[in-house]
Amino acid sequence: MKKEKFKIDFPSDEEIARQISFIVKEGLPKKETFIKQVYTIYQQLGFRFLFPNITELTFISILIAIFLFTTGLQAREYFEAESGSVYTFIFVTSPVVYLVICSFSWYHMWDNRTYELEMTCKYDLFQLTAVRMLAFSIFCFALNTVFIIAMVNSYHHISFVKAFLISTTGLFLFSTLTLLVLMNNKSKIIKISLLVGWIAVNLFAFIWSKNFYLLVLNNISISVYAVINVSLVVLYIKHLQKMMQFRKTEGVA
Amino acid sequence: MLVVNHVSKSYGKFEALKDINLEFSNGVYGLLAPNGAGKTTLIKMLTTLIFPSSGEILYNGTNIARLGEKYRELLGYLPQDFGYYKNYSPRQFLSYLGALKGMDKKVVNKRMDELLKLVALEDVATKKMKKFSGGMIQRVGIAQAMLNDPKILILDEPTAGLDPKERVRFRNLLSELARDRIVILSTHIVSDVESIANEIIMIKDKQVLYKGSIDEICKKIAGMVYETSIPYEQANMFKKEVFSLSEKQEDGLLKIRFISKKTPEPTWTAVKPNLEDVFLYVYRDDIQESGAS
Repeated sequence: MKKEKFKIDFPSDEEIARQISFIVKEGLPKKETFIKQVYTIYQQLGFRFLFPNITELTFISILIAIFLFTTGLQAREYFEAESGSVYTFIFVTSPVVYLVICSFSWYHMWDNRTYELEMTCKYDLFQLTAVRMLAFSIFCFALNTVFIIAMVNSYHHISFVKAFLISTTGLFLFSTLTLLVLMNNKSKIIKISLLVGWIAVNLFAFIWSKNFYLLVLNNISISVYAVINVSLVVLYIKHLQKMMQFRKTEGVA
Repeated sequence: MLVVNHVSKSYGKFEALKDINLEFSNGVYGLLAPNGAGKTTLIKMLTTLIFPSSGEILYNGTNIARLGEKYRELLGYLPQDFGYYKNYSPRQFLSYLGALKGMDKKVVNKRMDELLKLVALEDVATKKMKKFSGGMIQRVGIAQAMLNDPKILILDEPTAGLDPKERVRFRNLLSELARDRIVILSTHIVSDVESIANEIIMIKDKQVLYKGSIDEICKKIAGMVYETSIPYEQANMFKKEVFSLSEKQEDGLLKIRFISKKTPEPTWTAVKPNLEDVFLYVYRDDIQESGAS
């Protein structure tokens, strides 16, 4: 019996190239840049849905800002008598607004029990949290800068550059630590400890060995502060990026 | 098709689910088990809230963890503990979730109008949800789960808080929806799934005990279910010998529906088992189990 020969047309080079590019496109999802992802989420959700509790957040921020400005500008006697203590004040208080608005935002989510629902949507809670934390840190950075300008105008012995760098170090050190704890630790106690611990540990260190604390804070040169600052900002953005990709598609790899 | 392939889930030393194998194609699936049996753990794995300790869950051949947001785009989910923003109206809340689900604003608005009408909330669509009753909130939950016209609709105890009329309407709605999607309904209320589920999945001892149509599952106790009427004085003694399913007073006697493996007595009438009989028998406690044997 003769075997029937099947003739199958070999696809053209264009067809092969098109199919390969289709398989690669489907199998290896294109990684978007961090900025593009942030912009896409902002476009999709808009300001109103990105910050569903914006009224409360604004109110809380104003209250804390008033408290910090009043305390910072009223403690003239102490700051002038105790050289360098003003930098301690700036360092410790720099992430306070960030700390409170992040905590409030998480409490709001916990109180409304929306976690499960928001985690099963296309844009999940990790992506939203990353965008929100980025926005909060930019807002706090701006607020801290205004605070430092006010302090420099009030206390002439303060160096703006040094105060600015110390404040930014404090803010980004805390926010990077927060991100690390959020992403790597499931224990609620550790998360809460970080929030409460920042002020407690700094105050304890200041009271326990004021000279050593001030020595560390004041003796670091501006250039070292600048390097620390840039490193912390890079680390912070990298972790935000990581948080954004936390549950993303793995592709075919 | 959604396939659960040798899935186990452990929390430390505690094993919540053991070697689960399931397949879902279009239709309604009733996940039936008492509270604490592992239903919610399975649901959470199907919705990517948690991941299996071993095994995999595949959608059309690809692991759902790998599909990521592409899978979540196809998903509609109503959690058992449905959370919502109290200061939002249903319209605002659905718009918010529509945005999170990656939907176009125009599509969300159109779909929202249809769904709010469907769940009879169009009159309160702009009222804040903090004043809503449990049933109204549950209807918002059902509407949000269907917002993106999901290919996989997973509902965990969806009828909690609904009145009988709403339950019937909800069941009809699910039957209609299941023509071209997978609907997984987790419940411990047998009547919720009895009339609409194409297949029932029963979980016991962390494993799938039965998976099949209601008729197939009911056959498991065929020939063992009876009804009889006895004087009240004999009730306690009688119930020690059989496994009682339901009891009611009728003409001064106790009419009892029960399961027995013994040779039937002339006064016993054999009846066709229903899903509730199987449910009660399968999840009976140890004391009752010894009474029935």
